[in-house]
Amino acid sequence: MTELTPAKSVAGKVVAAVANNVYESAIEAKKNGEKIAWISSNFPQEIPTAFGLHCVYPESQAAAISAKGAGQTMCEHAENELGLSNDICAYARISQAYADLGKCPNGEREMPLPDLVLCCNNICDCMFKWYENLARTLNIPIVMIDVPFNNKFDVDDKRIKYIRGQFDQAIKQLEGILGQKFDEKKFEEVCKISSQVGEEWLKATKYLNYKPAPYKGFDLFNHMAVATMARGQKESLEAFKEFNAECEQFIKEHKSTFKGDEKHRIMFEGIACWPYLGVTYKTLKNMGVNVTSCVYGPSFAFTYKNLDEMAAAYASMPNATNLERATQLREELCQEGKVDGGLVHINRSCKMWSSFMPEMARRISRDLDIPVVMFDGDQSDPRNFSEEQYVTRVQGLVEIMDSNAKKGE
Amino acid sequence: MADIKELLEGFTEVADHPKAELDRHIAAGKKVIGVGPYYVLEELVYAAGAIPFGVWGRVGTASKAREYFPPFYCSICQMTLEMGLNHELDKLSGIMLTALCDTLRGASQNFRVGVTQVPMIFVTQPQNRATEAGRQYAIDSYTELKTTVGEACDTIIDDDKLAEAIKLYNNWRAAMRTFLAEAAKHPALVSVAQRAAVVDAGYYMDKAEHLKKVEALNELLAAQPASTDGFKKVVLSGVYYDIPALTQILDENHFAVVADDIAKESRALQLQVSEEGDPTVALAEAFCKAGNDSILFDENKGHVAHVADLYKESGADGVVLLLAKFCDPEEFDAPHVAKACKDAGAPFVQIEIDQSTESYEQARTQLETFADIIG
Ligand code: SF4
Repeated sequence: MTELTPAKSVAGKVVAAVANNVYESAIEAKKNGEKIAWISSNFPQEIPTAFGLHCVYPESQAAAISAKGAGQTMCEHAENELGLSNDICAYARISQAYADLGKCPNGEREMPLPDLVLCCNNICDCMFKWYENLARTLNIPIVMIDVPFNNKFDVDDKRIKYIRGQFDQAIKQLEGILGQKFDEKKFEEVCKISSQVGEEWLKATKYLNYKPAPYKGFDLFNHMAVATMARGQKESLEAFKEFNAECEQFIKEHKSTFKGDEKHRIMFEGIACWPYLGVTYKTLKNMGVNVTSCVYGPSFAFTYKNLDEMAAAYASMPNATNLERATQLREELCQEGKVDGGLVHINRSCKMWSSFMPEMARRISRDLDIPVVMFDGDQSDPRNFSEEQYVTRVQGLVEIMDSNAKKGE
Repeated sequence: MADIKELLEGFTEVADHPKAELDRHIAAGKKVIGVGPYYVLEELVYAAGAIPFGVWGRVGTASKAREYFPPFYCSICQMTLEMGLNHELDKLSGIMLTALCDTLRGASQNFRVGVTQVPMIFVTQPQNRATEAGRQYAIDSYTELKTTVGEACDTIIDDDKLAEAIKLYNNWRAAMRTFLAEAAKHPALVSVAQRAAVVDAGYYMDKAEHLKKVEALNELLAAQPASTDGFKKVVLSGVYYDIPALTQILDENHFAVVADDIAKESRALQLQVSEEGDPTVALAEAFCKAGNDSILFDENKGHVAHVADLYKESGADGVVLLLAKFCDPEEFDAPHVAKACKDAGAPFVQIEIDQSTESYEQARTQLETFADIIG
């Protein structure tokens, strides 16, 4: 195996700065009296961006808050003060707590309160309940785009027509709320940038396919924030280009931000356990395991030129597709990422994502003949994760991968 | 003519033994199609000459279903899958499942691949129902379903038959609404358990037969003097409450349900389908008009105000929210419903329920305390 020299990523910091800037400029805009929208991660953000509306992303904010250790405090506020059940998504709890408090316990990740909310349920139906609640408690308008779950493999015409019709409706609604006409030209420009950003992002994720990989797969969890929040911005394009150039340089120079030997390569399925990002990463790293396949690449890489193509793209979000298509997507990513095993996060917060995960895990394991192990956790609520169980499951996975590797020698 | 007691016993018999009812349909040479929650257009099944048969899980514990669902999912979906995996549903020629919440999305997939002996008929419905795009999506979806359901029943559904089925269902829903109102006025004659049994029997019986019996019961009840003396009048809110351990507690504490916001009852029975024009379009439009339900997107969250309104209009003494464990739509609405009730001056209690709960002792204590408060 090629010996790798550990490297520090400079471009990664540039990407992080873009994410930071989204929050900073929104805070600034609010101060200047401009309108702010809270928007779900897979809302067709090209539409509000074309209106010049400042958008911030509660999901990314909740991830950042919990990565910085305030997840539990915010969840408890939602439960004890707002009466929300601890069964519901921790992002939704944190976000509703933030809407109530208007600030984090220790400034973990501040963002301005919204004047309207933009919601799309292509990733889950919990989303529209969460946004309904935000709209109600803050007494602000809600724009909702409904992407019905698809039981079939392919997206059909009736879905595309429905979603397309809702785009027109959303535009009309926004024109009313913002008192401004929709600018088609601007929209096309945003779409162009968005598509380019999507392509660069996808390219960035694909460098993990190199064996050994030029960076640690967990980096994607951080960079994803830009693919989510700043898809329509030129700065993101530049940042991802810089990141990709760095990847190529690392590959040529046999460097990687993954420290140590890349003994095994795995698929990590599900949202990261933000409160335990360090532990979950280090456990893998200490056993020489790098994550080289994860669904976040295609999740945020949309390409389209117009509203029709955009409707089809948004209808095909991984969580809106059926079991077979969801499985096929992962299997392709596993093959490209040359993985020896899979680690699946049964995420207590995400009912949609976890709902057919056991079957998907079985299928991936069977079809690719690799071990796939599941662990219980939560994206943001630290009370739902057991380090002991995680370590044991990873050890179990590594043992099988070791023994498979021996057989293959 | 049968008396009230006999009629109620008949409904209870069916509600307690759905399998026997299913066997009766099969013995009569009928095809039977399972129908899950919510707002499934059963009329299509009826028009195809088959019997729609409600499947909303059952009281019990999931074991095989745990191979598919992690533990943190509502029991309706877990137990429906469990029933399928246990071959309790093998006599069905298909099962219609919607995907209006995240758990139902997953349930549709798990059922389709786990219970291959019962074909899953996927029912897709729009959430943006007030728009033309949503209306059209419902029409497109229901038009496809007309063919799919017809296929499952070995027939082609024609519009005349569908129009007849719509008429029957409209009459049935109207009779059921009357029954719920009569039951509310006569708690000494219709217990909470019996109210649930009449509703449940409707999910299993041939609708025409159920309608006749409900009409007979309504007539007998209407002839009796109304009285809620000695009862604590409550509005029930939630998805379901047909759990014997729970209805027993409600009855023992002399609760009378004077209005409900129950998904399996009044929310489902609100549909009124136009009997004019294209019947498939009429069914789609009826769904688009439904409201006041946690599972349906509503920018005004009409469901919340609706519960408080039911309290005010019904003259109830309080509101009991039966919160289905792990149910996202209900859990997101719950604090808002609680607040709206408190704002309306309604005594309010929230009880967690689940088909797999083994002990309702905590619920008993809560309900006894609540009975004291409002009594
Ligand atoms: S609405 Fe609630 S009870 Fe009904 S299927 Fe969905 S999660 Fe289960």
